[in-house]
Amino acid sequence: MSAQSAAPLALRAALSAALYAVLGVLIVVPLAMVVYTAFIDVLPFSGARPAQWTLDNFRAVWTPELGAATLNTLIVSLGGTAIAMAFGCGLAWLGARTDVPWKALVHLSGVMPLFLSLLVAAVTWSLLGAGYSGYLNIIFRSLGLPFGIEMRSLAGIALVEGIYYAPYAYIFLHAALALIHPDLEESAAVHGGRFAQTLRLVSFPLVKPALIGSALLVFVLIAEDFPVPQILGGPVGIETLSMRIYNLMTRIPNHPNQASALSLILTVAVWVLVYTQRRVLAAGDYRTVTGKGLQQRVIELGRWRWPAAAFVALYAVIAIGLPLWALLQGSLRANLFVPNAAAFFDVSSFSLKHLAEAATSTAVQQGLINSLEAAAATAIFGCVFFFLMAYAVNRTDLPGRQGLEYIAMVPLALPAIVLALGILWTWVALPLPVYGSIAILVIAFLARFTPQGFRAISSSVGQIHDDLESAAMVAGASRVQVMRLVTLPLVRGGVAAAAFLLFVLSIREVAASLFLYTTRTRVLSIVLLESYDSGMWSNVASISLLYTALLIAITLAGRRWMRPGI
Amino acid sequence: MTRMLRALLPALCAVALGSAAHAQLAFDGETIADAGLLAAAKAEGKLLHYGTYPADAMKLVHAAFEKDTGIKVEYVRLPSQGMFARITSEFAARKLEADIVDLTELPLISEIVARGVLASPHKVPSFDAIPAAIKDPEGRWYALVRPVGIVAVNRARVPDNEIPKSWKDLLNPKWKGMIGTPSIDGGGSVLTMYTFLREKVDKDFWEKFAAQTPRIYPAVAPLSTDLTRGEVALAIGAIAEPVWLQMKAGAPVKVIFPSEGISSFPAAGGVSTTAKNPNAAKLFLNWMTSKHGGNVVARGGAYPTNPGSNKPTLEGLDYPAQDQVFNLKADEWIATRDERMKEWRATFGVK
Repeated sequence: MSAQSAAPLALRAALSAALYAVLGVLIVVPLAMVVYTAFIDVLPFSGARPAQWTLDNFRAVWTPELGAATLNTLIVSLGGTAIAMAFGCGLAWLGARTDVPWKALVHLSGVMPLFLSLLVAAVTWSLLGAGYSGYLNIIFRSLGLPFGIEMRSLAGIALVEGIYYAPYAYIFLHAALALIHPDLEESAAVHGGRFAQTLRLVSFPLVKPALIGSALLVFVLIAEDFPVPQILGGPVGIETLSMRIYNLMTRIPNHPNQASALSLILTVAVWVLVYTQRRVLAAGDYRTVTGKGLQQRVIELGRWRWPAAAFVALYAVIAIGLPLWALLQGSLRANLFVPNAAAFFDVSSFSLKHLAEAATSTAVQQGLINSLEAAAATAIFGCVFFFLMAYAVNRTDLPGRQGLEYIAMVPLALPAIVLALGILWTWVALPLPVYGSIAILVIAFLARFTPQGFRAISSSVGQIHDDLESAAMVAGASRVQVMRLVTLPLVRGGVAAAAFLLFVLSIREVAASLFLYTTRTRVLSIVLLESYDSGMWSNVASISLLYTALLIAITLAGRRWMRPGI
Repeated sequence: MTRMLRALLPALCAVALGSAAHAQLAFDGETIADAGLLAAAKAEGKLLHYGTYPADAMKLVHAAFEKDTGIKVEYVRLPSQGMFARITSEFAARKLEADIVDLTELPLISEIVARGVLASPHKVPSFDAIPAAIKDPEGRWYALVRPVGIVAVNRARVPDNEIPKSWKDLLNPKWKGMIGTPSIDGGGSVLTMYTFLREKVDKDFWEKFAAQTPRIYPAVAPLSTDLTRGEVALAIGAIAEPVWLQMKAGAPVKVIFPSEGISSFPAAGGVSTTAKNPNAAKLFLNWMTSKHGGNVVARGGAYPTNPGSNKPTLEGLDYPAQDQVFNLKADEWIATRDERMKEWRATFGVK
């Protein structure tokens, strides 16, 4: 640790100040807008009458329904996190460390659920499994099976959340597992540790930061998620905290001030979680990547090889196969009505018309170009900035470095619609020529996805032993050279994973774009939402299929970058 | 200086075009714009519209306007509350670029009038013919498009001889648990429909209908989806267009106009104070409120503003005549909104 102290204090303070400044503009100012809104009695920055300070917003949110909404949120979030972690970790371990067959499928299954926007995923699952006319229920009936499923329930919501957040666990764990030093596992084996013991006592403790970090992230993201509980729970009267906040924001008369107050309460709850997590992890040393070669041992699964493959296949069917099949039905069939199971295979009712229309629509093409541009810029700027931040937090003794992490977690707790308004108020007021451009979308995406991007890189950086860097510095390398020649190559997998995550999340993001897009910067997710609102499901299904195909190509092409470059 | 030039532009153009002064915009003897306004609008050449009406439906209206005038329309669409927040924030920061703004909530319209967003009143040529309930007395806003609340049925779930013919038929106990409705949180479209049901159909309609335990949907899209799939047998709400699209595509669904009549609600808008293309905006208002423009709106399945226009004409549907359509007046809407919504939530058990 002593090497970095050599840097002059002024330089270190300047670096710290720069990181704070960027986070300040991205996150702190929008947060301040939300805090301000929570303590006044009118919509701010909108030309309304002068605001009065008040605490009434905090009093007004404590209603009897808040208890039920909190309970529902806990059930859905805990259940969803358990499902996401089980699938995500299982796939990550199989993919990173074992000789499971169909590795490409493992990887694809691990990340693909990210491609679907949660709105589309929720509607798709309601088509598949809600009520008498759910596709799966129609099929079960035609097979004479005496049961059906009901996705419009707490269990259904938790399952859908679990499936679609599993990729977070997969991406984080995959990067971390790939960086475990094999010596540790091998010595456990040499000393007679059985396979399961090694896993439990050696492998998992070493990836604890990634494990707890991703579980926390998934838990909070599910609690904050809105489209899934709204579409699956709304029609049966299930309400969660995120729905409550959205309703306070949009119902008439609306209460944006109360929505902000409730969001702040959630933000504080998340800070407590992040703090606890830091305390839990602070005790350990998770650095295992040292100067010794890192040639990872592939664990031979033996007779478990095919059951493991079956696990992957099961997940692939649930998370990808069924939704894609439902989307295919949606885009090929003229309408949404399915009289019986035979209709699913009645080719005469299929047509490529909607797919062709979506592919040739100028609105879709322009939206796609804008989305790719904004997503690529978010991924590139995000990776540079989040790497510097992760490096500062994990590797230096810069003044105030821990505060960075707490600020970085803020957007996690703020519901998308609340954060989006904060961003709108910030940037509409700033005298910079970014409002109305693609740049403002990139800024909004960066702010919204700071927790995800920072976490993804940070957990990799934390695993690299600083002996390597110290050694390089002792040998005369400058701090920048060390970063470029030693640290970066080692965390390449984590950075690539973060870039991928930022890219995909930006493409599907709706809420942050909604208040900021113009006709020239209309992105694909907005085109999708407009089709959905107009009741044109065949369009939604067709667009979703087309861009999922595009993302599959990108994923397979970029697969090798997500491994560490050692 | 620029502002002055802009104000003078119509006159300048009229002079410059001199001999072309006869080039007004008119259809079937109805003058939509005189030569001066038309020339000035064409000189601006484009129009930015911030609106609330679904983009796919509005696209057809904009395309027809563009074809008639050569003025290109750009459209940004958000639901009413979101659009309200965006308009007021941009306006307060002096960054509102929209030429036309519309909202589907008359109380919100009156709010943006109060904040000075619609301080460029413009009286359209058809002003006197437009009913008072769907225009501002000063010409600051007009109803642009008026969708309706209707009943829709899935014929795979309801035999043809049992299809309800009136709103009151929905209260028959055999439909208990089989009807879907949007929540009052959906805004103006739902509030106008439920006000109509109470004032014109049955003063106890809410209580009786709530006893039918309808399934309450957060928005129109999942409601029309569930109707088409047959998850609910019947649905009420502003769902004529999506149901009609599915019907045309072969789904066993149908739009019904109940015998007691229907309600409409306006997407109402006007020229923004900060319009960059004020003449194009005025021309757009003239066109939307004309008989000719109204006929275009009617072809999309919503009622137009001009009483002389055709009634809506979606293929296979026989809409009621314009004068049988209920409108909720702006002042009544503003005065009773909060109380009615509270009461609705209490009656239907929505928290």
